Amino acid sequence: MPPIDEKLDHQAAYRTPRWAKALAIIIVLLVALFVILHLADNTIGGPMEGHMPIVIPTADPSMPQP
Amino acid sequence: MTLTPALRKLVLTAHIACSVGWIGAVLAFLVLVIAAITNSDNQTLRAAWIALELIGWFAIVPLALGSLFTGVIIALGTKWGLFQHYWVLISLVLTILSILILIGNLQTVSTFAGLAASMNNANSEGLRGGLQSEFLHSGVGLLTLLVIQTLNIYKPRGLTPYGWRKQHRPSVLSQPEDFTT
Repeated sequence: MPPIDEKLDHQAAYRTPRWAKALAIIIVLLVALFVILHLADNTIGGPMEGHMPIVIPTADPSMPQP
Repeated sequence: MTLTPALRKLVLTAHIACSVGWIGAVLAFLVLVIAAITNSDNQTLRAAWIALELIGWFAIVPLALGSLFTGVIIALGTKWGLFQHYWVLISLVLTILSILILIGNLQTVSTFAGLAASMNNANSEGLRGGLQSEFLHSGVGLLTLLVIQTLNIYKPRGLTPYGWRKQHRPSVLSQPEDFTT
């Protein structure tokens, strides 16, 4: 079993790198933004949410009519 | 579990092919979206939606899943591990998030592509409105893939708490060698 001082040194030496913290924060913010926009029924995806074309497919005039 | 050198090179080749192919396919998707946005021709618009669906389901999704699968095998089969280094962990999280959002968004693309195939040229304004969302999805997706690629090439230092404990066991004191390039 390592001496207590050595264990404390190891604990003190461990640091999460700044770049990883920054990137993690950016990812979380982007995901939150994505979720908020989806929940707000904005234009970012969802099955046709926010940009459903309000059109009824009409008959092609070039086709023979009954 | 450690991969043999021959198997590691084979999986690495597949991983690079899938990952770079994924970036290329998303770029093609983005180019089609921009072409449809900037072109006023309705036939181009309808053709673009149909092509977007094909590129999405038959190029981007298989390449994305292949990239994830081969990446996990390489991580687990080398001393890098899947959860020991922040660059591996963040790459994994970003890849999984990208795939989930991709598959969700492609449902919308399929719906628009179905409409594009069934409508005549007079009813195209709705199709044009959906392109902005696709521009955003593919643009952010491309940036995300470039971030993942940068992480994988530079491999910035930084052990996770789990990796720290594993690396500082008495029997294992050295950092892993560069196994993925």
